Amino acid sequence: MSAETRVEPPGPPGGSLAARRHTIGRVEIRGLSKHFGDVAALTAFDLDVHGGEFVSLLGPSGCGKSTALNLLAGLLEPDAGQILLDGQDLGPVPPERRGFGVVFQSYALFPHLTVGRNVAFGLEMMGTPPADVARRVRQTLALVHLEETIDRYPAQLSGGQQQRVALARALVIEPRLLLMDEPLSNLDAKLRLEMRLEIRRLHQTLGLTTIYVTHDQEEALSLSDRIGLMKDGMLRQVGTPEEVYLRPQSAFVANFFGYRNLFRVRVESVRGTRAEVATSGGLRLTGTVRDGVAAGAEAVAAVRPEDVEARPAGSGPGIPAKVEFAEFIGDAFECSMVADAGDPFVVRTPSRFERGASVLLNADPERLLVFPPE
Amino acid sequence: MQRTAGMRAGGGTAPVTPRAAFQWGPLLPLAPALFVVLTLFVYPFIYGLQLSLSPLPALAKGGLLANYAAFFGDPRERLSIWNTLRLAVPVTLLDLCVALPLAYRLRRPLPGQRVITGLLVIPMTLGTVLLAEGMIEFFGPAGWVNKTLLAFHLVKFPVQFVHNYTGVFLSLTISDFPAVFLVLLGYASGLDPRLEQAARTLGAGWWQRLRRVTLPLLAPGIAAAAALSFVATFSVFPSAVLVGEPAGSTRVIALAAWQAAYEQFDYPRASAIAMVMAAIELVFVTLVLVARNRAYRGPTIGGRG
Repeated sequence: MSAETRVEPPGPPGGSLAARRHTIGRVEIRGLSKHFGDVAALTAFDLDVHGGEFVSLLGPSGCGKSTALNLLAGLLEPDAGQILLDGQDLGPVPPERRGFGVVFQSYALFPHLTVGRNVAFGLEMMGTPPADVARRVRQTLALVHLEETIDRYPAQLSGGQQQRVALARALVIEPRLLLMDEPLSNLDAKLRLEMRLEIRRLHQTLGLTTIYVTHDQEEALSLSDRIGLMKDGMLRQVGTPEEVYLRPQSAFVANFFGYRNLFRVRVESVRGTRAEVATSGGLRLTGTVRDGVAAGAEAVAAVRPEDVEARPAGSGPGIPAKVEFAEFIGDAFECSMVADAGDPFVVRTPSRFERGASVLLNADPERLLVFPPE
Repeated sequence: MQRTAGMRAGGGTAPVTPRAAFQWGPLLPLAPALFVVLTLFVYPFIYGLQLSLSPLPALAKGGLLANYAAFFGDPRERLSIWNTLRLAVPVTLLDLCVALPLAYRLRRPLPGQRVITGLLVIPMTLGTVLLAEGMIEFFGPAGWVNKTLLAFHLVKFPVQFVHNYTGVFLSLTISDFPAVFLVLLGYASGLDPRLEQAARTLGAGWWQRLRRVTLPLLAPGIAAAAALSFVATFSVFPSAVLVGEPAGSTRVIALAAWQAAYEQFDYPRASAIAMVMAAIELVFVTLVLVARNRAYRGPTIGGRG
């Protein structure tokens, strides 16, 4: 928290800021674990975040992502493990001395204080001179386009405005690390999109190391430099949005990123990276194997709706299937189909198929992934 | 009211008349409550007020306010206000100071919380008379407290805890505590724990969190508890007689009114004393509410639209 390790005040990105961007706010998390009673909320959590990086923790509710964030903020005590910020062990540092910006899911704005006083709170706690407080509060509110609400109370603001105040309150203290816990989950779809851009813009302007918890894969994909996929208190895969989207390493990750067709299969044969698998209904598929898949073993085959092609029946090879119903999703249709062998498919098609129509399905073996079972 | 009327009238296709006629219908359910308030509160109050302004013949030449003049002109009568205030104010403050940390601590489920809360609330169920009886035994010259003090040679002679100011003070403190505690517990359990966490992450230590976040948010509860407690203790009567010194240090204002009414059969003067009592309570409650309104009014959870 010494002066030279602080980020420049919020404002247009200056040269010094860009230069420092990768040297401060470096987070190393080593073997972090937390139990609640008999439940392991977080197990052996390891993650390195470089200065200025935006990392999302993504997973279904109860996966431990919020626990990880609360441990980082110091609001929970870990059972084991270590968190280092720029090489300094945070273990003995209480939350009030960490100087992190935290944006809570419920915003947690002080209802009895005006917007201005809410944003000033952190600065006042640090003993900043009143004139500086006033200036920086105005600057930060300008950054989130809320100057005119400075004298209003949180209850008088819309959800999106409250969200911006919560952001401003966290940013004004110039944190070395910004933690956000599902900050957009209380907003409606349109506002969520708008705030997503806003968060992206602020991150690019200020270059703050950010750890962002969400259950929304779109949010994670659009905002993050890297994404950490979590399940059952464990980190399953860490990678850039492109990596986790295109090369999921497990059926769980695949399912999270739109591989909506998942089949329990038995591996018939493996040649190189190509595998022949069969579903319990006897449907035979060809796909690309991931590590740990051998002939004769149980596996999970996964393919995205957009990677399955459907043609009217009667011409060439393919899996015979019938259309159950078609959903219009804007630029295409998503059709629920059932293969004659009994397996359900979701297929994205450019045109509408009528209910009951007979089709042939083909999936690109490169895009059909075969994972070891979970 | 207009909104209710509009919604009732049309659902999706609400009429667009700019000014709907005032509808009495929705007010009808208020009638029983209004009746009760008028007959049980407003009427007796007005009756008492006019009675207090109609002095008995002995004082009649003093004019309308003769009863009030008599009360304030008599040092012994005046003293009853002080006797009551020096019970009501400290008891209210002490109960607040004890109940506030307890309510704050017990605002979230803890092991054994039900038992603790139950124990704290029991005095409410006892009633003043049973409590007084128990106190006379327990704090009496041959009671457990004095026996213990004597056994440890902390005192040479039994200490007098009852039949004086201390007795009434203790009795009121005990009997008044549950209400104060329950009111504060209600407010404290409504506090959003995220607010204190937010304050922590912004660098606030425990004292700053208490002063800047917790206490301001509990201010409405503290005000409500203080007002309730003061009104309850200011109208003290049974314990002032049973464990107090009704002829001296605990001759409280309610006792003065009672003596006027049932020892001297001067209802108008008793009514005047009751009016003085009501006026003092009103002043206190007004002061508390003014102080409270200077503090924050609104929800005690984090702002979410």
